[in-house]
Amino acid sequence: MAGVKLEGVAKHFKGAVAVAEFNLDIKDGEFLVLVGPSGCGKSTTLRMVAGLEEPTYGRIMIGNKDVTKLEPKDRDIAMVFQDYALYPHMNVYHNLAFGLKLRKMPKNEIEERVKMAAEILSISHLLERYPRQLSGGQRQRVALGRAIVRNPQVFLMDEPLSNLDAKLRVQMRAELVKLQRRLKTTTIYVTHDQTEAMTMGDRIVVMKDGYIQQVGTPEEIYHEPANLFVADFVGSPSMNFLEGELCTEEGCIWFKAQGIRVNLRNSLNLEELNENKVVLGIRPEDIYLHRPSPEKVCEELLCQTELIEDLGSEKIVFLKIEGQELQARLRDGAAPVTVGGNTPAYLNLNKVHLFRKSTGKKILFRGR
Amino acid sequence: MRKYWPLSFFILPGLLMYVIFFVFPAISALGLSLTDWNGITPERNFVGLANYKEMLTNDPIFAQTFGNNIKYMLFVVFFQTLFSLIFAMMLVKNSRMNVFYRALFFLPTIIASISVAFIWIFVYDPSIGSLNTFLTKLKLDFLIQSWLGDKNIAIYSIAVVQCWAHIGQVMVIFIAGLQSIPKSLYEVARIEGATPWQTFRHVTWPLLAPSATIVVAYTTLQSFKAFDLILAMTDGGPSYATEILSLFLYHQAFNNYKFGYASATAVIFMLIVASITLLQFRILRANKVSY
Ligand SMILES: Nc1ncnc2c1ncn2[C@@H]1O[C@H](COP(=O)(O)OP(=O)(O)OP(=O)(O)O)[C@@H](O)[C@H]1O
Ligand SMILES: [Mg+2]
Repeated sequence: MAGVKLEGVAKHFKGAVAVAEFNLDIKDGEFLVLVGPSGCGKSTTLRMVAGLEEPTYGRIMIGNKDVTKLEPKDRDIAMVFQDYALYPHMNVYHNLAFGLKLRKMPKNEIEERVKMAAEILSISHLLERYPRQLSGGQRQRVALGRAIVRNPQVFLMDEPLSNLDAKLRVQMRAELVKLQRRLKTTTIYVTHDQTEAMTMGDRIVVMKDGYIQQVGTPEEIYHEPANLFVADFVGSPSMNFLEGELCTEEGCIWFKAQGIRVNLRNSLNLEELNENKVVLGIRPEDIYLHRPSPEKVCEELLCQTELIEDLGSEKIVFLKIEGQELQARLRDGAAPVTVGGNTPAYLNLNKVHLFRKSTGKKILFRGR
Repeated sequence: MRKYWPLSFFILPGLLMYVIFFVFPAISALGLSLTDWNGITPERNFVGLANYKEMLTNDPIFAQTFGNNIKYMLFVVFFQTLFSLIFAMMLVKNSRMNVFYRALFFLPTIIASISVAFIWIFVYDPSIGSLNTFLTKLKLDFLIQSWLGDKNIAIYSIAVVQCWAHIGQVMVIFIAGLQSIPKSLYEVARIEGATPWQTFRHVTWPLLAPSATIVVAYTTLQSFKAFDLILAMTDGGPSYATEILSLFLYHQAFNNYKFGYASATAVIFMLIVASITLLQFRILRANKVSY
């Protein structure tokens, strides 16, 4: 078993920058998820770890070994591809055994390993079948099986679930996590789906335009987003944003926009900030429509109700205030509102985030 | 379907052509092959299977022709497939250079075979031909041959021309086949540590099987149908060394005026081509690959 370390890794394609700079220390046995919008350089990063692309700059270590210049086969990694990449002319058994045969493993050991992997993935009854005779989920398992028979130091997975239908994806998601817990193999998992990232990763790396935006546990990423991009990318429905300015009045910091005044009840040195245009962010579940209990410090805003989406277990209420939009997520009971009417909305001030308008960077203003 | 039956009239013109120029001649060839018609006089006598018997048991030239045709076919199929595959693998990436080279290799395909024949007659000319001149320049005089005059090598000299003229065409089929193999399969092989030869043996070749079957079927047919090239280069000579079936039946009909006999050859020829094609399509179906 081994960790993976990337030091100043970058990849340029004929002048176009796919990965600008990547520094990360992945711990032994960790399940690390790379997430970000299309084209942000996730696959490129993964392929550099695999050795399928050579980094333009930087160094990659697996365990204590510098593998930057090594061929993929010498890195002791296994990769699972989005399209499964099974050999159509080989049955499941031979697909699983292919890599072992190339490594000249004795026949009985190959058989043993294939059997074992097939059992773990419950595909023992499929060994004689060809890939075209399998369903999407079964193919996915075979692709995973091919990775685990080799018992490598690191699993690399590039959107392995994205070709499955929604229901199967959720099921395989859980199975994959269980499998990883059981094998304790360091795993780097690429996805563009933030739900997958949040539910699977021990840690998440959020990327955009070739740069790491934030590294953290799902909790940190969700509750302490480092910038506007991360705040917006993670969570569904995503965080609400109000644009406005900060100013000091009566010894307190206020957030002001047209027709909106929020007393942040906090001391923040505005001079240090040297700009006062900000974006206030708050997650839909931190906006209440019922009057909350007094220990929750809230600010009341009068909004119009535009639309109510009923998802069964929860309701999303679309609100409007002075041309800016807010969504509130209600967990329990009926919404105390009717569409088209006015309603007070209570913003939980302990859950409010502030970001600079210019750079999107988070402004620390709470003593949490 | 029934209420669309008037639509079937639309295939009539095509069907008519097919019947007049293919079905009718084929059937009449079958009938003529049982006669001793000379192709000119109206007189013809029914001789039963005598033509077939003569051809298959008592005609050393037919036997030689058949042998030539097999040699020609094996040579063309083997080398044309091999080299077009090698070129396809070299030119599979869509770079600007490769597109240029592909066009270059394809060029001979669009030249009429008669022109190809005349070009190569000059190349092969024993005294002034560029091939022998070239060999002399390289001090390889011992390789100098009468390329089309030596009855041991003439058939292969022509087979080389046939390959030259069609490699570009076949290469295109292989390039299409190669490009349809997903890249990730090669990446898996690379991660698993396959050598270039193992990658070819276990990934490229099996997945190319459908293209290869098409290529072999097509090339086989081409080598049986080769006619104009040989007619223009050697007309079957020297002493029948380059006579193949298509040429043989032409000579029987139009040089020897044995139309009945030529028809019998045509029937045999048709049977051979049909059975080879059928066999290959059987194999093709067994080899189907799907991703
Ligand atoms: N071989 C290549 N040649 C040139 N540019 C490339 C190459 N591979 C990737 N890129 C570019 O690098 C950038 C990052 O690509 P990458 O495949 O890593 O994105 P990604 O985050 O995996 O996106 P997706 O979610 O769509 O898979 C993209 O802008 C892409 O166009
Ligand atoms: Mg990708």
